[in-house]
Amino acid sequence: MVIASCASGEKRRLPPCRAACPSGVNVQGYVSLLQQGRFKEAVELIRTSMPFPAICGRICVSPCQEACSRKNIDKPVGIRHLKRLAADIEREQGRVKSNFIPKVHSEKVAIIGAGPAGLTAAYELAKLGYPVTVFERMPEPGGMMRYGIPDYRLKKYVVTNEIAYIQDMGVDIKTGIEFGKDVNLDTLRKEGYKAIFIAIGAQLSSKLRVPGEDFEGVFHAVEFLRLVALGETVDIGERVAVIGGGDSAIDAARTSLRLGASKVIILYRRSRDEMPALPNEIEAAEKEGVEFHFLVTPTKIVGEGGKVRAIECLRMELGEPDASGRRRPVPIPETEHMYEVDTVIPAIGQVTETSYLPSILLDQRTNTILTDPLTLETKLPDVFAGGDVATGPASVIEAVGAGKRAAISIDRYLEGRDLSSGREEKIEDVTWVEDWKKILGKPERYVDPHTDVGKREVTLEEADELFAKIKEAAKSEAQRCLGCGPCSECLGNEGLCEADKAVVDEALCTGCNVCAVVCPFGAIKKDDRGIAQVKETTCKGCGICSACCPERAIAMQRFTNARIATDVEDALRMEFA
Amino acid sequence: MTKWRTVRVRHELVAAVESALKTSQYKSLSEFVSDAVQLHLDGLRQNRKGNLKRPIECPVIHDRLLFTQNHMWVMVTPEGNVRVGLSDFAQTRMDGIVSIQTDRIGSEVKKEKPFGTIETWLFRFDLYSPVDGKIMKLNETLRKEPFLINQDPYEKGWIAEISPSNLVTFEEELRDLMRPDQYGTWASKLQQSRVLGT
Repeated sequence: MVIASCASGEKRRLPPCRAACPSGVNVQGYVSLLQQGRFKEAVELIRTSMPFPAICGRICVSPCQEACSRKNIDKPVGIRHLKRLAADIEREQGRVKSNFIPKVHSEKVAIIGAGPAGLTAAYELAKLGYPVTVFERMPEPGGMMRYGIPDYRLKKYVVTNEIAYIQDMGVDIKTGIEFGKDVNLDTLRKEGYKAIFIAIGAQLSSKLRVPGEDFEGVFHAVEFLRLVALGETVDIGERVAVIGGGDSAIDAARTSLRLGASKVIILYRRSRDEMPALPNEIEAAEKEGVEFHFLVTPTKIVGEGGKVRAIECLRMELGEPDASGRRRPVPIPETEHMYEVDTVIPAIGQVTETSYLPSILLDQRTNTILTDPLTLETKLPDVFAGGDVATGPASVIEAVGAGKRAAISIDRYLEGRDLSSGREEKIEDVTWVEDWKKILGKPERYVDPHTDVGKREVTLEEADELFAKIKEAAKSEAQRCLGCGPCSECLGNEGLCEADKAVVDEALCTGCNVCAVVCPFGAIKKDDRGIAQVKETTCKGCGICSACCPERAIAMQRFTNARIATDVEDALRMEFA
Repeated sequence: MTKWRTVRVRHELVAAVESALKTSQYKSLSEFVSDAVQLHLDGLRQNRKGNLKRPIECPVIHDRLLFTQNHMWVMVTPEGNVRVGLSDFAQTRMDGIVSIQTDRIGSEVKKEKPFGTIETWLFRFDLYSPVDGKIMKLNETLRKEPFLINQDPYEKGWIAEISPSNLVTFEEELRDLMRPDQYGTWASKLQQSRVLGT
């Protein structure tokens, strides 16, 4: 496994939002389109990068919002909410259907796991014309999007709808098939699959490893949420203790309330500031009446007749920072105390089920599949792996990014090309503001205005008016975007702007370097002779270098003086014909 | 108020105007121009109407159905129950139905009171019962395929069957409902006022 090194050190400049997205969604592009009210084009632009606008518009961790430059003025632009609005507005106008894509390749690809990583890889490979089959062990596809995220955060019809879009393209999803039991690598190869992408996620809960963990009334978070999503009855008691501080803990707590628990407490071993869960989820849980107890950790689950009766905890204090940078909790001796509960839900992490994976693939230390982070190849040349199974538990958008990278790798592998050349792209995020202290305001975290957009009971007449208002609201929010990055590449090279290229006349160039400094995209550098060289793939044809060059050594390829002269002549001729 | 702009005029146009003035069809150039502009605007208005999402025409109707002002269609079954659903006109305004919730089988419903909700991606719409009665049957396929209401509102997309509580008043209540042609006219008027209003 060779990681290609980036020799030239050239960086691709992107606005902070786009640079932060693990899946490379063109954030600035679709926000620009929304500013003009071009909703359909905005959704189509999102779909060039990822297939789940409606899902991520509801539950994405939104690193783009965290990075948004606007946060230095007031609140960051509500990027996630805009994505949701764009997707919902498109669908409100009728069922969205994709086109069946004809197969241009004959090599079959097998994808194990119909979660975000697997489905994104299927989507990208189908777009390239490969016959793809996804094998999923649960009764319905979706992975953690369906079985991990509770219904009140992400309705199941959203998941079904978005996956239907991928299926209409010609992707075959086979449910109820378990890898390791019904199929394995050898059977897949025998059936003619030339490449296999393993994206089974991390489906097991981490154990607390305290006495009493096997009592009746202990439900581990991942299994608990899965049972609820399957529609099965879970016998939650009256008083529930959830252990953990991540999103799964909050999900488990809020789900318990909805199942009828009268008191739900969350026990977390660090303090509130270190909780990794999304801040608006923590606030929502508090509003619903969940009690938070910080700096406690369980030592024993007390039971009676095999059923949970209480949980014993120790108080903690924060010591030195550990490997993750957070301060390590240190138990304070002789601070044992009890919480009287009849249900305990440990939500302290997830681990991969690796028992039926060939051991050659595994990293024994972390119990995940060992992969090259760039190409996602494993020790077996025709097997690739990505998502939680390779990285450990992470977010949906990171899995989507992994799916995209896997698709590129599989395409190159099946065509016999090098997997890593040209892919190591250094990204530099760039804004036009140099000193934010000059544009001061208190930064506020963006809060979604409401979780259920406009869903009130309306009459047919009111619906039209409200629909128009929602579109206006989306436009105004999009207009808060500062456009702080370079060209937004809203529709790539199609339609809007005619791409042009700058050409340097080497005879005239004096090496003054003005062009390299003014280029917003970093497309010009001087070579060893001291003469400016334009990198064709980066040059966007904006023409700034040509206008600034003191020697008039740079011309634009398309809009040459000769062409301008002929265009004017033609216009005059037509005018006075 | 429109701003006046200088417009270049081609030779042919100048010739046409000169001949029109010579034959005294118009007294002046400006009258000619304002007439031409008016004709052009009328043409544009006609085109705009034609390009609307749905033309103003009678919505799809079945003959043996009756309609309420809440856009529900009503059909009497052989058992004497009332089968209800959403009219085609209404479903076109609720594109993208994602789910439908109704009161359970056995629930009492009241005339012109909601007994369920239809949910689209952005909105919720109430479903109104046309009669007093009790819900006897529900279309279970709508649970997994709620978009059937959009695709086939009169057949596969039927919503519920209600047993009327008072058979005597039931006859009178049916007489209050609209026949297909009446509903068609009324719905078209609604469509028109909506179009011209925006």
